[in-house]
Amino acid sequence: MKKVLKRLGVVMVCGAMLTTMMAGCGSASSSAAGSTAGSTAGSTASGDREFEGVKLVYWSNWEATEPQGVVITEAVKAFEEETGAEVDLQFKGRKGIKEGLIPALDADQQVDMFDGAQNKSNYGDRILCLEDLVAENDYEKDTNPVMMELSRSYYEDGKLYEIPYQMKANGYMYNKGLFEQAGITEVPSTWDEFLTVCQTLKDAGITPLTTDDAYAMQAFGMHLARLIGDEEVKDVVNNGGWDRPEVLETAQAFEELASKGYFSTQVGSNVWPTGQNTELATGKAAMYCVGTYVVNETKGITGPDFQWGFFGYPELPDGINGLEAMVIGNQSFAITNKCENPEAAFALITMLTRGEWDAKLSEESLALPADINNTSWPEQLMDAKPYMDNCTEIFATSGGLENNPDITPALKENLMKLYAGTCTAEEFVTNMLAASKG
Amino acid sequence: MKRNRSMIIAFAGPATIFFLATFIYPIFRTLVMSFFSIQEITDPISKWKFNGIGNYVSLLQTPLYVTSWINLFKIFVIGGCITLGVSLLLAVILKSGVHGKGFFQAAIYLPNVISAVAMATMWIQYVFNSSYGFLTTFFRALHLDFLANIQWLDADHKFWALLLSYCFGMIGHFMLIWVSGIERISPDFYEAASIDGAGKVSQFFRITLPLLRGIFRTNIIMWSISVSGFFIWSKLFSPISADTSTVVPMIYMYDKLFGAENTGDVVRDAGSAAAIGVMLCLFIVIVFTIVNKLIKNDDLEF
Repeated sequence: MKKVLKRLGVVMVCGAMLTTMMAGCGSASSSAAGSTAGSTAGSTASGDREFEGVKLVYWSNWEATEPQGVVITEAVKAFEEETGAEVDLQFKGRKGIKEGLIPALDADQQVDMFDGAQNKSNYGDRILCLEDLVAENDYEKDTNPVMMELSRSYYEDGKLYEIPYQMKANGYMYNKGLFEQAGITEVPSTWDEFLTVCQTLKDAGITPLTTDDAYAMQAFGMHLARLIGDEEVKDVVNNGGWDRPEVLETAQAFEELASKGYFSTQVGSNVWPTGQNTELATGKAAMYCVGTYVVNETKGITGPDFQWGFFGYPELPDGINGLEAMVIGNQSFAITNKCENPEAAFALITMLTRGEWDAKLSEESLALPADINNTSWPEQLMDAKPYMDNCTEIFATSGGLENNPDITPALKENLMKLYAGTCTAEEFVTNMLAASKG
Repeated sequence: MKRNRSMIIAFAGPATIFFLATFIYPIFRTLVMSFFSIQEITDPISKWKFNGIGNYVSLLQTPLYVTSWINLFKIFVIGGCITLGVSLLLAVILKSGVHGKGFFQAAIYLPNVISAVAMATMWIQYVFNSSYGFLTTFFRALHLDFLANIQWLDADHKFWALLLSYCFGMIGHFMLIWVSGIERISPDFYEAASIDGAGKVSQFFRITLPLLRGIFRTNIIMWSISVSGFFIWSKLFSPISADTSTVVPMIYMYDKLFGAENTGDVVRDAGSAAAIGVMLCLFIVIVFTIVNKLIKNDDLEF
């Protein structure tokens, strides 16, 4: 009898443990099943509203408290009321998308759509081709054609897999108040004019330039891309072509800026976001080569009265391209291959990138609108509009200079030294040759 | 006591299976993955391409990866000497009957209860900043301009700034372990030594240090585990993209696994990331073996 009781005890203990473990696993699978069931129901249900009964799971790379997160939350609510769809909006943050989305999709977790940084080519067949949806909805006509071309350029088949929004342009963001104080009335469009502006600012007791380590590649990359084009810049960083004369020429241009005292004295130690927050946004330095997103990033420091200006990277006397070539980028939406109602997901994307909600996103996050019919750009970014409108050639990020992550750290270190005046152009070239050869 | 085998199996079985599934299996899978070309960590095995020791060779030929190990060794050796040395000194001082022992112990341990993110931000913005940071204003007030003008976060000083702030945060943790070790030593030894005329320094080298041998071994292993997982401090000192002076293998692994920022074309390489994981694991095993060989614990009884 004792033995039987003992065995019964063993069985009960094992059973209890197994039940606990199974219960832990069960909750996840049941929620996924529920989500799929909802999606399936949506495709068959019919109601007054277009997507009654459809459930979408939307992972966003914003935080709920960011301006973009706040507007997207409101827009999703409006979408639910208007269409009858139920949207499970989850703010995952940049890291959440970067680290968690592909594993989630590979584990068959239901995620119908997501947003995040441009170029989602690494998602492979996990995201849907959107050409048919774009054509059926006549979507393309209202987006800047250059942006659509850029979005297609990431994919080998040249088709569209992501919808751009939250556009940004890169060039020199500057403080109009300081320009006025120095008596500068026109922004520079050539390198000589740029040097004159720097000198005028310096003569007025204003520090012309600053940057941060994270964005140090932008000015140098665009300068080099003006001379040789971004594809050749990529070749330099990927194949160690640092001994090209154009690299030395670019380094000499920045050596000159440093030697004339145009850079902030603390530029060498600016760990992002120190330069943009404590020098540019506080009016200690006048210009910073960066994207238009800096306006949103620093608005808590600058306040509403800061007068922002923008000009494209100056043209060079021996350059092969001009102001029509620039770095433009965006965030983008994509629909996953788990989505059973791509039409509903696309309708939500359309709502967020067109008309009222696109304008609101642009206004609240101080970004460029996706809808070309939204002509009322944030005042702080109005200067970027003519450059964007006339852009016919898009440079890769930092003119292609950040294309090799194995060389970027050495490049960043040597560029900061170059800007701080603690290394010459020749030393820069030597250091980069050494770094690429190991 | 009579052993009940079935009861042992019932209680130990699920835990053992759970341990094998969540600990041993990932280690084994990582080891296997390190010999394959794999893009995503979740790629099915059918997508894996056998690469032999290719991942290891290509990593060791990459200057940035080699730099990351050099930085790690510097943190391990120099940081280890600073952290273990200063924490031992503080532990001995605290155990020598100094007034306000409780307060100092809590104050020195305090950085450990503050988030590393907050600590690193404090160091970067309020200590090392070259226009309004503490070091700049302090040295300027003393008219030591050559010290005030040092740019602590530029390429030449960033590693040392990082090391100093990391060690500052770790000292309290190791100090507590030293304190617990010193508390195990009977006061009778010190009393007898004092009667025999031994001074405090002599007592430290002839009694405290030899009897702390086991704790010393534990601390070195704990330090090597902490250092091999060095990530967040490096990330905060070089946000967005890695930096030659602060890059460590974990940062390099993260960028390989999830893709570096701002590259345009995102390249992910889970196979190489697994190889880095294996090398980090080997690092700890090697340190553990060497320490166990060099420092014997079982020849003293007290």
